[in-house]
Amino acid sequence: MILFFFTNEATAQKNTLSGTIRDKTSGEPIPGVNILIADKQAGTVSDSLGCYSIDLTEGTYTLTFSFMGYNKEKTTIYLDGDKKLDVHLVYDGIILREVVVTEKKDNQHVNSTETNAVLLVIESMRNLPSFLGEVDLMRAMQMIPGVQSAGDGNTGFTVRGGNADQNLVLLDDAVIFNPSHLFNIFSVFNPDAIKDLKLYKGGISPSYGGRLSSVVDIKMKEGDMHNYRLTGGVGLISTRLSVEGPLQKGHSAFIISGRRTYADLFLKLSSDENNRNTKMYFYDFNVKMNYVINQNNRIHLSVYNGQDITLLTNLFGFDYGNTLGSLRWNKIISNRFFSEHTLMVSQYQFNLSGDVGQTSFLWNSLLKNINLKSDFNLKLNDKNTLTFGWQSIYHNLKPGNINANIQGIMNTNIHLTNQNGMEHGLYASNEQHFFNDQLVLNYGLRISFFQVMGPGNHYTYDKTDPMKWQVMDSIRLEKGHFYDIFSALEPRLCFRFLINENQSVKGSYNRMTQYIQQAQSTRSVAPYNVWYTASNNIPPQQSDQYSLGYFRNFFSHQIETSFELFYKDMKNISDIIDNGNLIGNEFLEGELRTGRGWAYGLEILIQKQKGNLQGFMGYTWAVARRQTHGINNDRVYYAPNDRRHDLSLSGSYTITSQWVLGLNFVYATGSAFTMPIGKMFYQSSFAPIYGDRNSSRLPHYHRMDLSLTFSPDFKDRKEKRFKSTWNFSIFNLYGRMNPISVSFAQKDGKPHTSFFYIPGPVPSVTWNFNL
Amino acid sequence: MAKIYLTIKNGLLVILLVTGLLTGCQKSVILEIADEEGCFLIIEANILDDGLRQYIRISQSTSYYEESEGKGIADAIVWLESDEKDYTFGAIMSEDRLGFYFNDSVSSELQGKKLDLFVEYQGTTYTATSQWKPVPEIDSVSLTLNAFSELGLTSDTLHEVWVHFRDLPSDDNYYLFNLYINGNIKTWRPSLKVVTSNENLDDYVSYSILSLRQDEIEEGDVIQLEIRSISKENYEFYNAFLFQTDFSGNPFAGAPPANIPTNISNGAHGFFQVSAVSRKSIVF
Repeated sequence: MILFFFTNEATAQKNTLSGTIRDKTSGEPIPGVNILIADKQAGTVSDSLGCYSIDLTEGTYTLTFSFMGYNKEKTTIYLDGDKKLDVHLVYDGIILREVVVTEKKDNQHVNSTETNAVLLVIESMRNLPSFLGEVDLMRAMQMIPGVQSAGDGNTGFTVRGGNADQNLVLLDDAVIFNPSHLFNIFSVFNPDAIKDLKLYKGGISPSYGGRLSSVVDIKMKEGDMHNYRLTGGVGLISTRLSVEGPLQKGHSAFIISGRRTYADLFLKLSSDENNRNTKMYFYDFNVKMNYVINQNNRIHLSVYNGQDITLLTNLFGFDYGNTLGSLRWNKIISNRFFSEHTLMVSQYQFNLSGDVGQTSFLWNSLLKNINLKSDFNLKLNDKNTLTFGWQSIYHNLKPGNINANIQGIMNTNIHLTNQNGMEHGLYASNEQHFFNDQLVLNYGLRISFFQVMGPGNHYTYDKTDPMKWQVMDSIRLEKGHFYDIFSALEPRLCFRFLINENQSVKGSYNRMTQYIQQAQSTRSVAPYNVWYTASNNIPPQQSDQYSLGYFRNFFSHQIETSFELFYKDMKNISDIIDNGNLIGNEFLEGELRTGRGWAYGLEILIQKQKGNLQGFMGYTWAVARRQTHGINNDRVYYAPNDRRHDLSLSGSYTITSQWVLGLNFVYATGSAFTMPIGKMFYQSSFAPIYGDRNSSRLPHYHRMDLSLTFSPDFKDRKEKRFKSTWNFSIFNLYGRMNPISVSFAQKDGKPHTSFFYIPGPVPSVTWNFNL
Repeated sequence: MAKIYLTIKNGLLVILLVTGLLTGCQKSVILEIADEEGCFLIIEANILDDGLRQYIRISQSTSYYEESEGKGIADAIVWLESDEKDYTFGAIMSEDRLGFYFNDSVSSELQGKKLDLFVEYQGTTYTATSQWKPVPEIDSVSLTLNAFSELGLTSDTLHEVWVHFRDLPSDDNYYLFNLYINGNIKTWRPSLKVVTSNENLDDYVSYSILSLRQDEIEEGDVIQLEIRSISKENYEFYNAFLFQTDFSGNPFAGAPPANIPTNISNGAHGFFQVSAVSRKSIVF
């Protein structure tokens, strides 16, 4: 079914040099290390497991291993047969004077074949301003060109004109349904537990599937195999603590990280009983263990649990959270053949409860998936590397059981129909090098399937009136039986053409299919996460994306630039009809319509990674539009995240070895929203009359943040084991009021408009330590 | 610190939580709105079977910030049609009642009927249809101390007004409740009116309509409760009205701005509803 073509050149006898690159102290594998062979002008990059493999003829070679934040390692080797060379790199201190956005090292920016991939390293962000002192990868990610932030006080984001539910957010391969705490203000990622975040906004590898717009691949730290360490921080709103160390020196390690907010603890001191009975906090903890069975086998176990708890005066409770687990087995089958098998479980639940006198209610909802996958990496020869694998996911979506009871009046038990499905993916791709590595082509195919599973209900709607679907019929889906089957072929292609050492052209095409999606209005911050599967009423979403970029480095790779164009066409993407009811609605599908969405734009990135002054500037010009039958009288409208201009500046300046100044500046065209074109007076009340959907603009968004990081122990860091830093941040320095949403209401008998916003400036101080 | 809104929507409790975090961050603004006056016709036609004089109000929409109730339209032709009979609504040509059209006979002949509304204005005919449905008789009205007051959660003393009635046997009824004190309507605007479906109500219903603050009532005041039968569409109209006005823009409510639905054709706004009505009073 899948055709592969390889170039088989008759070559001299080749020997394979392979090995694993690890951190010298922690023993963690380091992916993305640049391996250069000095005399040959050739090289490779270590894969996600830190493994590398390169074919060379007999001879003596000098290899350089380099990776951001590590000392370079040079080794000379004589090769007269297949050889194994494991390398340990030395980490370059606790504070990295690096910028937020980094795309690996030296000419990696130009040379890498991964188009549209951006790596964020947590360490690099500690010198930059943060909101309330919480270093947040998701928030930093929103500064990358092509990523649109959902607004202040919101970790939600969209990528290249897509919807917010089209991003596959993975923590150690397990899906996170709601990556936010405290009504979207903070992300669930504890900076002490996270190693890095990789964002793919295009050119997505066929090993990923199930979402249209992006993949956010977040990796947890592995834990130190040799020494025990204690890391932590005290901020304005939360405290963090991490312990890591070997379980069995050199063989196994663990890391346990915890974080909790503590504002509510002060409420206990209040003299007001209602305040004492109010709780509002979140916590999360991450555990990771890894065990080296032998040179070729390694096991990783990752667990995350986080909860938000809100309890108002003992009457009203609201809690939600994610629980994830993943178990991974890396096996090196031979020096050319690596494999990875992973089992992942994700769960998101929210509970809403209230007990006010005669009225009580309880709403439980749960989203669950169990995911099993295998990935293989086979180095066929020095020109071809084959990647292939499969994945199966069981989706179990329980929108909820709702019980509402008003004593003696009504007792309602509503069981919203569960939705179940099996999603499968099968993929293969080949990375092929041509013309002495000048051209690299990565082509592949993913075949995906989705089966609707019982138990559940299948509804048929009368769709005569596109504005109002009426339920006509329902069929009960039996447990364990399969119903509708959807499938898709998803070709993926990307290339990199190296013009010279400093310049390259990269392009990609990818088709993505999405079988489950979320029903949520874009601006709502409430964590009622209602997801639903593809069905007879809601076909799967599909996108085709094309991108083309020119990458150029200046001044010996000190300044990196890129110019990228993209066009994305999306089929069957859903939107909510006017006055649609998404909460506790059994006939949810009747409130949604599917249509076409398209987006295009230009993204420019300029970054400087070396020297005392480091930073980046990102600029995006883009358009995102929608057309949906039954919405906006079938006319074309702007997507809410349509922003014509989006500019981000982020930088740090090292004043002395102890003091670092950080700055962020963001400017974006106001997002599209629906504005009244008049008002009506009905039964003594005003109500707005609206024009076309999303035809007006919120005011422009702009904001500046400033930070100062002080490292008192930096001077003598070699001698001291205990090191600490102080970070002073001001978020929204000049107090710009950036609206989250607009209200059109009535006040004192007059029409009244107001903005909801997060007031600024917000100062914060955080103390971080490392022992 | 926080406000909780409880409302009934589609027979469910909809809970809106507004924490201090957000209510503290709301700022009044005047937006530049590119609107025009008089673009749309607004029709307010709520016809009751209480035997009294009924009115229909026809007005023009206004620009958003204008503090006007909309110019009343006096030169439209307004009538209702049943299978048997037409009922003409006549305009009164006085300055303060411009746009009001009255009829004295329709109210006593409504029972069981399906009526069509016609409004002819400047060459366009706007139409809508509504079916009369029965309403339960109110058994009694009572007052209790509100649970919040009982628990000392509010500084005000709140009196909860309850209505007791035997529900109609069929499950597809929708009701609207109004409250009057000494003949003055307390539920004067659509967002204050209480609407519900009877799908999840018990056979004998005791229903808490709203709470009155101590300073809103005095001993000897006449408290009157009214139930009206409404259609599902009218019920959705009132829910949408609440979400598009009082809850508008609330980041927790998650209702994107949209026009309040209407049952009137040709781009007019408003609603036409024929209702049965039942009332009961008590003295406080």
